[in-house]
Amino acid sequence: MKSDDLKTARFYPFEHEPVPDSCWSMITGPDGRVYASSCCEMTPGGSVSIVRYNDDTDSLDTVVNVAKVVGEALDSGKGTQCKIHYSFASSPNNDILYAATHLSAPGLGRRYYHAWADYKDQDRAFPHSVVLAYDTGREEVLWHSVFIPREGCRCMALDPDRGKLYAISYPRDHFWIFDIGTREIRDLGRLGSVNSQGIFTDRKGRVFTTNGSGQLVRYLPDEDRLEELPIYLPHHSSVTSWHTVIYDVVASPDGDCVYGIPWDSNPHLFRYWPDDGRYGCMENLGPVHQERDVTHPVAFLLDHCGGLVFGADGMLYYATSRWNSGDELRMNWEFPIDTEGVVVQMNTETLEKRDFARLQEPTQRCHYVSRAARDSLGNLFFGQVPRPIPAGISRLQMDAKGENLHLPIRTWG
Amino acid sequence: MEHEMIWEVPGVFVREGVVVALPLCFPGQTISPPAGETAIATLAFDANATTIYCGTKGTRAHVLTSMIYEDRGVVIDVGAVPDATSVDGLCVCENRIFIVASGKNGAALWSVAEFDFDHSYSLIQEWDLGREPYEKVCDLFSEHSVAQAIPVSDGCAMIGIVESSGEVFRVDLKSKQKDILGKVDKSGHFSRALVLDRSGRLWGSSGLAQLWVCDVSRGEVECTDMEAPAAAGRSPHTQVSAWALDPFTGILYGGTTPDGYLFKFDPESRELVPLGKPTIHGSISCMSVGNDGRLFGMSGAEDDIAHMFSYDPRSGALSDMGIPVSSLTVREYGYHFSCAATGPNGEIFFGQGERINHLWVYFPSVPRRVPVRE
Repeated sequence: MKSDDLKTARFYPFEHEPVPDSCWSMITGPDGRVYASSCCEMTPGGSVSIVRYNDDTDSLDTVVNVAKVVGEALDSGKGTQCKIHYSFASSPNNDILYAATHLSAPGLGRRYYHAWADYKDQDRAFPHSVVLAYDTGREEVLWHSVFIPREGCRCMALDPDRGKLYAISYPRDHFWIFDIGTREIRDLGRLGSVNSQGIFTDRKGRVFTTNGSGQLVRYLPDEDRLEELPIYLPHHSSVTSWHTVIYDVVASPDGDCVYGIPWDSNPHLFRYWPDDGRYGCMENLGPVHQERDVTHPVAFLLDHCGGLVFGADGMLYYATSRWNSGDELRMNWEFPIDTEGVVVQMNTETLEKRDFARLQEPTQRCHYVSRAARDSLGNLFFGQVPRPIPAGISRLQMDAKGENLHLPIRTWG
Repeated sequence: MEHEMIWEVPGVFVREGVVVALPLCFPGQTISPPAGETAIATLAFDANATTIYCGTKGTRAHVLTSMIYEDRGVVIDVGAVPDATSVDGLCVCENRIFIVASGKNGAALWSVAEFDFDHSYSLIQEWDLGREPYEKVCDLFSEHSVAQAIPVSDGCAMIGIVESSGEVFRVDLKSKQKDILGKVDKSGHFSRALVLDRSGRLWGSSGLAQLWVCDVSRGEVECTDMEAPAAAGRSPHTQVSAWALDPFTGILYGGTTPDGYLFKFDPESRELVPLGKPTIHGSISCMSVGNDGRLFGMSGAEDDIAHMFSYDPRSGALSDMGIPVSSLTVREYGYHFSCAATGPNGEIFFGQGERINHLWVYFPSVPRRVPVRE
């Protein structure tokens, strides 16, 4: 299993109290610096902070304490703004970084919170998610607003030209549109039961996500219409398209297509051309993981691939998990097994892949990467959900040459 | 000492009996009608009670048909009703399905041939299933929509209420004659939910949660002084949002909005008994009485996560059964339901009323026998 002669990323743990247990989001800001969410998804009364990598000090700065900014009382007993899930969006037109929050932590003093059972409980329920606009130039939050009532924001995308944020809500899996100018949000209705973890836009401003059947759902802004397309994300032959929702998706450097990975067992990398024909064209680029016993459902905690990012060299990088064959049968929340996090480099012209770097720490399993980003110097960063905690980010020095190597920036979470 | 987190508590989802969600298609062979057109607003059975028809609403309205028995197990789209954005009522009469439907040009009565599931050789081996055209029977209202319409007892007419005016109307399916029988509330404050009792009288609510009744044969609407239960001081907000008839006892059950109270009502003695609030939700959205007399229903408004509930008249037990979830067919949660009907075997059909939808079927538990005490 071990890969030799690979680069090694350096891990930067989050240093907040309570101890952050996850980094669910990361993005390159309009300023070319990398921002990440320091999340407390399992700590009662936990709150999320936005951190930024500081090149000068080679450390992490905390730039936003969300609870303080939005005036949330962390001791209210209600579910708190405990994380920013895949809900960062950078504006290419100004210095604004948008961020929306998500639920899961119980209120302070509570031992239990269930997003379905406690929905609308006036004492315990998560009241609403919030969205904030952080000015990366002035280094301050310009405004914040109530976002999705009663639900968290699972993923989000920005249309900078129309001034809209598009979001998928949890737990009810509805498609929402937020008008940045008027701060009003609109519900376009339900998509399914399993949230897409990713939502993206194309150069025409069309919005793409998936329903729980792995089917592409497209929003046409000029017609204000949602439609289910006859296009499904690819999957392994041992599973169906159910649960093959987008996990992570990144635009090609020229913007003609996107590369993505689903959130399902033995995921297959895909490439989608949104302008190719009436519905676009989906390509199956093959599995990213090892063979396994397909008669047993493997935990997504183990069977994971994420953190897609293009390097300044034009190569696609993604982080994937590896484990000793057969261990997938013993994996559960309580029983950790040996894993390795590997960054794979793929040439998207030839589709050749090779192991490029290792993500590892002496005392933590660092194979679960949520998102990745590239800064203005061309270095790569990976958001980590390691065990045991604390969470943090990994940085991969790439020794790239040039300026503003972070462009074009990503406008979705 | 820190207390450990509790991550899972059983019973969030329905675990008494079995819930399944049927996709609105022939699985593996067809796809559902487009999302946004399939919120199921009304249900009706054929004469044998083996084929169920669903009327939908949305950007277009469809009639769907389903048989879940034998080798069928499919939902077929009979087609989009012309000019309609809602199917407000269905009636199966003499091999035809009569449809009250509304759209931007008002409301009309349509008909289409009954769907003959028995005609096709097999829905596993090979099949031939045709789609018949809709025929317009008559226009009902040129500028108004119908809120709900239900078949009268002999099945040869439909009776309903106009959405905007609260007028009660009756339309004969053969002669096409339409009569206005009365108006339930001059101020326009009335519920759109209707029920026929065993004597053929039509019941609804209006005003300050008061029940009204229409003697269909005499064509008279009477506003009674009986009030549906409401939270203290909230009767001005309250209406009956769902009804169910126990065909064996003649008792009517009513559920209210916005506070979600349940009551039973004897239309003969006019005795009304509040039964309580089955779930934390407001708005009881639909109910039906099963073969053994237990009442099953759904509570929750469109922005809620629905809870299923039951009421057992023998013991008086009122139970929140949990959130409906399907796992044997498709793996889906059900968040809002608009209608319910009881099948021939005591299964309860629920029509989902969201942007994407399924036809849900609940198979109630069969209680174990208990020893008879000597």
